[in-house]
Amino acid sequence: MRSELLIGGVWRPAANGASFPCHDRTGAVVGQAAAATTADALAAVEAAQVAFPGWAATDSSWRRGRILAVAHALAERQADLTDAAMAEAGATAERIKHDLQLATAILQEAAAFAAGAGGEVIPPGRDGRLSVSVARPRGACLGIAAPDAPISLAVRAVAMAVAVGNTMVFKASSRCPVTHRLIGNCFCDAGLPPGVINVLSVAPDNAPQIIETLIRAEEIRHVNFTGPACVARIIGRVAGEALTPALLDADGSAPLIVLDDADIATAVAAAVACGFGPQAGCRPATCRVIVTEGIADDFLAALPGQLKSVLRVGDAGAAVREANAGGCSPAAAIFSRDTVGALKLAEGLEAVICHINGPPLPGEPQGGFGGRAGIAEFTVLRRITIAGAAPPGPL
Amino acid sequence: MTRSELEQDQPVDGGPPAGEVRTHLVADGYCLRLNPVDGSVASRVPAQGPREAIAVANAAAGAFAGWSATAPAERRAVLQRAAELIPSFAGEIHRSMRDETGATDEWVRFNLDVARRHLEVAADLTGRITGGVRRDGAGLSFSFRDPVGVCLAIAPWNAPFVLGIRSVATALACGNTAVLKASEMCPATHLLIARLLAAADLPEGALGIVTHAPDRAEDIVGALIGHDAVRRVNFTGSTRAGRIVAGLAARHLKRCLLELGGKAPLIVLEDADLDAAVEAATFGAFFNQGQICMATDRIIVLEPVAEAFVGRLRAKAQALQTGGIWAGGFRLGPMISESVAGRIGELVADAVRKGADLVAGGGRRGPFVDATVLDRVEPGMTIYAEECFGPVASICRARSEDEAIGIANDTRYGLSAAIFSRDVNRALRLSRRIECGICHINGTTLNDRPDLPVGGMRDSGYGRFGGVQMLDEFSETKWVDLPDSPPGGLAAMLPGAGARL
Repeated sequence: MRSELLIGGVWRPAANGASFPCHDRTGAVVGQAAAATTADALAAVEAAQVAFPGWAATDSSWRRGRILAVAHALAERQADLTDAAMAEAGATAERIKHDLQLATAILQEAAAFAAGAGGEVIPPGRDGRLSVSVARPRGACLGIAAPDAPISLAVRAVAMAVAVGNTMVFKASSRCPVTHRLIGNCFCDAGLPPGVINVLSVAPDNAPQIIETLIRAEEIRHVNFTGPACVARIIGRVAGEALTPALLDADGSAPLIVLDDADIATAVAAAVACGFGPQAGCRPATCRVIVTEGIADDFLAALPGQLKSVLRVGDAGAAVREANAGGCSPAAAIFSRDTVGALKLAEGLEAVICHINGPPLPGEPQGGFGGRAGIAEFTVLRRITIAGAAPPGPL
Repeated sequence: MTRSELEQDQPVDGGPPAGEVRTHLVADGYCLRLNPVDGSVASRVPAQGPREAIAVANAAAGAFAGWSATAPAERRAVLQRAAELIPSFAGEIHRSMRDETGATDEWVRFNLDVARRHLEVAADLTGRITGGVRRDGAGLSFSFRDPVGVCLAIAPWNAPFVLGIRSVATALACGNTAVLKASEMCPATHLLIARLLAAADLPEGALGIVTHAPDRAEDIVGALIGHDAVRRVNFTGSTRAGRIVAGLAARHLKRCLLELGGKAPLIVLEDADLDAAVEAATFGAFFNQGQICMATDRIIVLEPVAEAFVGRLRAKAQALQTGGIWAGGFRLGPMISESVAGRIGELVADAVRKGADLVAGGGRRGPFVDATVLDRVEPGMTIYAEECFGPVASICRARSEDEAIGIANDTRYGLSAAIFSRDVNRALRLSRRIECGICHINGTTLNDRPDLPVGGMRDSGYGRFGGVQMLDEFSETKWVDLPDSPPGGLAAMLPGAGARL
């Protein structure tokens, strides 16, 4: 398996011809990926910048069609994507299938919102000034995705941003460059103009330097990242220094809280489902089980042997304090028969999503990347006033 | 309501009046729609009555439980597939529209293209049917947006495919089922909408179509609006019929969405790009022979440019030979019936008799009417006040901007409008002064966008098709309240007792 760089609509090797090996889970070499240089990175940024005005000016209905075509292309390339993702990311075929379904749903949602970036008309005052705010795409954006869900996270990093009119430099994960390259192929298949999406694979040693170069590039208007919290912190710092907005989705463990009045069987099933290995959700969640004293012994008795590490706390309030001690988590769960009480606790949990009586999976595929939140993220509101264009009243 | 009031044309019952041309035949339980040009049989559909209409509504009510329980993504898939399947139905739609309504090729293409957009926008809306949540000190309040039940759709013949699709697409997107009362002028075209959606895997019964002979419209609409499972009504058509529908709906306290007639003004200010204004006026007044609710029905020109404007519009109208010569990207076809063509002739004759200048056209042959330009149209002429719905460009001359706005608003209608001026600030200011639902600056009055609110005020009806506003038209909002703790008896619920309201 090989992968090259996609810059300005052309697949090509790195400027200096360098490449790096791709490994499978066992460490065996399964392919070679082009190792982008700083010059390549800047060329990708320039290609995205050049493509931006034209792409931003396209009709939203046409962009919608292109994004739906990417979903078709994913289906067409399903076999190749599955092979690559299984080899590189070590995922099972079933998981890849689920990942593809998620990616398709993300693309469909992004397509639906292609025309969603609107704006507002502010009621005019007596000065005859018409005042509006128009949501416009930001420009060239940078997307960086983790390999955990090799297809859907990459698609999520790109879909909504591109649907609303941005162009994209996508940094492929060095752990699944071929899979991510294939996703670049799908965007090309869908007829997106050259430069709208650019894909860079970067050798692991070079990644910090190249990523910093990309974030600091003046043309990059937005950064999104999915991956480890320690890396998210660095990306946030560099983006902050560059005054570039960043959407950071950092990994973290997911608290699973079992309260005294929980249904033990349901809670145990969820803990087992979450305890080990990658999940059916967008990303794996390792869970921290927090149990209140009144049910702890019964709960532990019902747990399979390998899952005996749980944290006992005195009451529900203590459980929430423990859960929040690690900072914001990607997902959480509360098990209790008292829905009203659980709702109230959930409102206080620092988690992106909290499930009541369900496993703590990152449930919504788009998260902050989709829907109205995604539109707000990937567009900027231009407030415009026009003197002399509005009378104070309609008649 | 008389038997004919729900349709714009004169239906037949035992034969047309002397000298008129037959539009339908009813025999053996079937209704035959006759081609408006040559009188041949255009389509043959079941001549249903209230009993059959009720059965269709019952089937839609039966399908409601299943369809309303589908995930938004499933409904999105059906609507998106339907959009993608339009090309494979294009041949049949083309033949039906041509044979039943005399539609030109360009009008069919316009219908197909806009209908596809309506389906796509409805597909996209499925992901945006969100409710709201409020938290206060005492609990959580949710507002759920629920499907309402069976939606009755009544669509007209003039833009049969696009308005038929529009009348049901968002209703279905929101999880409702629908009954479309087909226009008796184009029942086969409307039946194709059900076939298209069935091919896209819409479940059986979720969309029913009722076809009927012209004289059964009243009974059928009355039965359907009165049907308990029918919860919303949308109607596109004439103001006269819309008033009847609104009355019936009001009697049953059923919310309705009405897009009715129009008398769209196109204002040409003295600083307008005259060529662009003439193009827009030609398209707006003559496309589909003016049989469009947003057709440009009055052209209000400021005196300094009136002579030049009229001269250029005359040339355009003369180039539009009736009956098949191409000009300006479209051609004129026949009116929906010969009697309608006769009525247009009377409107023109009345105006000329009362002092209007006949600048171009004025002739007619059978159902074909010339592209006609009338200058100096003034109050007192029938065509000044009544919706024309024919290929007649009526020009009113105004001495000032204020007078132009006065004329624009001197109508019971308020659907679409347009203003031509190189001073966009001035046009923006004036747009606020026109009583209408839609105003285009330097553009045609004829513009349907499924993603934007389309509708009117006053005699043009109420409610909006298009845009997210449609969610309100086709769903019910329910406040579900969840207190943190149970109330302490009735006393605690009363105002002033510390309870929430």
